[in-house]
Amino acid sequence: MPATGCYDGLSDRDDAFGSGADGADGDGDDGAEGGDDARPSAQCSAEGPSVGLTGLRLLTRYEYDNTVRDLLGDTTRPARALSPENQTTAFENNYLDHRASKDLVRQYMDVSEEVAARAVDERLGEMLPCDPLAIGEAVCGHLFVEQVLERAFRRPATHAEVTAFKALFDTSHGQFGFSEAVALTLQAILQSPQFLYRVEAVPPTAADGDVVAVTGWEMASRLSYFLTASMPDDELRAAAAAGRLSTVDEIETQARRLLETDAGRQAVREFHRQWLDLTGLGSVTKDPTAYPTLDPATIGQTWEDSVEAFAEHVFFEGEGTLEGLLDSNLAFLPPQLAALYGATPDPATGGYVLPGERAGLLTQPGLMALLAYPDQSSPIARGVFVRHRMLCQHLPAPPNDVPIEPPSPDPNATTRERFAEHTENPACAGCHVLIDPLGFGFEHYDAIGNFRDVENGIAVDARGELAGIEDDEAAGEFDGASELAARLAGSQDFHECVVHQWTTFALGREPAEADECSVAHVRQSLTESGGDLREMLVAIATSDAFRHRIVDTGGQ
Amino acid sequence: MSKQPMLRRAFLHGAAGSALALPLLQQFEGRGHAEPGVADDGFPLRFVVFFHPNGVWPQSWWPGGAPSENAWDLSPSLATLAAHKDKLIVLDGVDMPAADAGPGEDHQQGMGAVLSGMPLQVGNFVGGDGSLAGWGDGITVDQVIAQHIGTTTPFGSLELGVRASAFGGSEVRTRMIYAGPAQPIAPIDDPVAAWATLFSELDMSPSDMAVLRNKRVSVLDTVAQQFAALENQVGTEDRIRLQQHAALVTDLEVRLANAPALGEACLPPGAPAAIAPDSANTMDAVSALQIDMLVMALACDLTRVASIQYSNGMNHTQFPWIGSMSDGHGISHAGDDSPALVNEGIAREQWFATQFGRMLDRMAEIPEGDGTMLDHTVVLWINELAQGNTHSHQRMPFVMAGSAGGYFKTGRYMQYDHAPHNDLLVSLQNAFGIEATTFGAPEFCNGPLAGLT
Repeated sequence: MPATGCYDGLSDRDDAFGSGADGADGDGDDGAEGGDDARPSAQCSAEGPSVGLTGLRLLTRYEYDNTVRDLLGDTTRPARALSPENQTTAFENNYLDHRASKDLVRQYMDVSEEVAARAVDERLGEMLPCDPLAIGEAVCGHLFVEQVLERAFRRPATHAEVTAFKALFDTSHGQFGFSEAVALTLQAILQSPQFLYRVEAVPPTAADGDVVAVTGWEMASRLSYFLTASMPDDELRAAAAAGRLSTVDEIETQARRLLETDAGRQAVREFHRQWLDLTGLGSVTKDPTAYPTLDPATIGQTWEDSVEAFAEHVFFEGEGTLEGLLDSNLAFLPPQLAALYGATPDPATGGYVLPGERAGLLTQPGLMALLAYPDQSSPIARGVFVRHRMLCQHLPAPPNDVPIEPPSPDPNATTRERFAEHTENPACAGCHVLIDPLGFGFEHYDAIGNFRDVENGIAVDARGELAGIEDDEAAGEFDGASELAARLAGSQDFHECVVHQWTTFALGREPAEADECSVAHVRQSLTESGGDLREMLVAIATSDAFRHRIVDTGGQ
Repeated sequence: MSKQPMLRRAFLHGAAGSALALPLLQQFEGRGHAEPGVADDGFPLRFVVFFHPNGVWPQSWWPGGAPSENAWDLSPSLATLAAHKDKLIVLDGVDMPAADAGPGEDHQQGMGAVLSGMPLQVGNFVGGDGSLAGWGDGITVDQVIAQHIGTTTPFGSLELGVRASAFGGSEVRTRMIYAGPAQPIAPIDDPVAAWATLFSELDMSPSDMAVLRNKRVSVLDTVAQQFAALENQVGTEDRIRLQQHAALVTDLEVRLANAPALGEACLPPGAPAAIAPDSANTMDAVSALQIDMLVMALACDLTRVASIQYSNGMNHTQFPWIGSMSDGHGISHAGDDSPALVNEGIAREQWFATQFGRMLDRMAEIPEGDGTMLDHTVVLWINELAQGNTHSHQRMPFVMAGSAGGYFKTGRYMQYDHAPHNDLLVSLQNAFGIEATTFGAPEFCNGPLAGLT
């Protein structure tokens, strides 16, 4: 059912190929690009791999923190002092948006000084490959440079690089002594492009437009930053050094291994923080009269952690499927908060079983709290969230001349009744028939995601309709979030959106038309594995788009 | 490297006002007039932008009665600025056609255009009419002015925010300052971070500072060398990216040699206590800290161009300290049939005016020559909309304070007939010695705004 009536129509961008050059044509009412054309059943290897243009990726704050942790043992998360990444997608790692600025460059300097000082003050001995007292400071300093560059630059250093950093060490050693020379060398490393960017060089013989496989070292970084959001670990570096990362089998083996690491679990959590915009919980305030036991200073972080923990559980301990993500009554809350929700301990998982009907990720207390007002639920925010984040659809903003403040709480009416004007007033109805019936499905969850059967003494009505999607079989009426979740989980639209989100996160850009075969490969893997989320991630890592790059030397 | 402990010489709160009534900034006197951005009396000129979102309430914002250029009363929203009325220019009848020309919805368009005079790029942000907007498409006027008058200071410009990145992170609706097309500059929302950036090193002895500078220069020299080598190994777009980064490193290295003016008006504040930068409960306190640090950064000649951005058009913030608990953006859409919400909106507008006033107060407390810092400054108050419940870009609520060393004739209410706001951006360039006749998209520019000088 095409989404007519919402101004020019629902902007359906889930064609998986981004907007790119045709981005100006945003009316998107021309139907199901993702639905009815003949889809390639595998990567188009017969014609050679095809991949969209990409560029150098600047480390995000999250990646920077993880990288200095793994490189230098610095666990202080120093990149919190850096300016936030610019965003045009849900994700912070889009290479087109996240670029250097005057503030970032100064902050890189400040942060490098702090990180280097801590490394030298607290961990000099463990950082050095040698004992300067035994073999001499100059010799040991040079050994340190040789050793640290390979890890910091995530590939063997060139002769010129080693020479340049040894020179900096020598000059600094003469002026300021050994440990300060180590610190200044580290500062320069941490501000160098080989550290701050994930550099992928142009092969000497490549021509503009050539599609080339990335090198083993580049592949190691692609894998490690996608699946662990950090620099390659020792095993991955060994595989790169041995030239083993040129085969799909080895890439798959490494991807599966990385997913099982603690860093892999953290990266999955981080994806969900960005996908679901959980950072917004930091700005949320709740009505202290209605919820006197919540600590405003900590509740946002607690909620964020709990949603991430749920996703981690589904990926690694639970079913590990898309269906499982939307079908669970578990939450991972601190005991005191669990009590507020009337949840009972679940010894098998270490989490809590929430009372009432629940739909996994969709009804996590933190997410429901994010998508609500201080003192009442927000069917609008929840409906829009499903359209944007779960279906990759985009809705225009409301008209300018209508009040958008929620109707005031009324002791004699339910939220649903108070919001009825949206779908009755023709000026609003165009879009709100697509938003409100989804949002009303969450009416069993109040402003903090607590389950309720009655509101103001009136039975909650959580009936709604999933409409405006391409998958006709999944569309239809539902009663409550569980039934909505079942329709979503069974819909092609949701599957395609999740693939789109993960692929965008993995590539650091939205998939382009040239990535069509890779995206189809990922979708197929998800379908054939019965919606297995980790298989989807492995499929992304082994896709043509992830293993190749198009050479851009135009205009040279 | 570790930094020296900070002496608590002044505080950002409390009696700072009286402490600032200090003698002349001797070091500025007698400077040549030829230097860009220096007034005839030798004091530096400064440009400051003050932003609040979601438009204004016309019934409270515009002067009542039949105001004329020289006979006008402060409106209810601006009444708190009485002490500075003779330093103000209230601009009426200025439109923002550049905002309406490109893709995007009105908040997006207003943010992208208000300081750049350019329509938005086409991109990935979904606009209200289904059009897909990108980032702003040009350098903003503050950055152009900074390139002209800000070359001798440690910082080219300073961007501060009060929950500027809340409710949306860094996207087109939260960014108003651009270093160039699609190069938004993020304001610093955290007062502790702002303090560390600006003031943490001002207590070092000159000799320690010289050593630190030498170390940084040798580190940055090595870094610059790495950029130069790498540029030849990457593709075309990547090379441009690296070159832009390398240019910023070079600029930083040059600025390390620019010393602050540690004169008598420069009282570096002590480090503020940690404070939640993104909370309705701390927003008023964060505002006071940011304003005071901004003015002190000017007094210490750390920079001559600065801005402060209050949240953004999508904010859902409450103002608990004035008892206003409704949703920020929601309030702005209220119509005449919702008087309680309108009154909340007006109360918030008046609070923004008190913050604007606080900044003017701080500047007016610093004597410079025959006047004060405010006389050597232009503070431009902007918004991304004219009115929240129409989303219009016509009759934009621009207010200026300060004369840029006598360039603008202040104390006036100026009425225009749909003048494009690009003209105002030209006038601002001219005020800081840039001999330009156009700014932003030329089709929306007629030259400097008439009657300001």
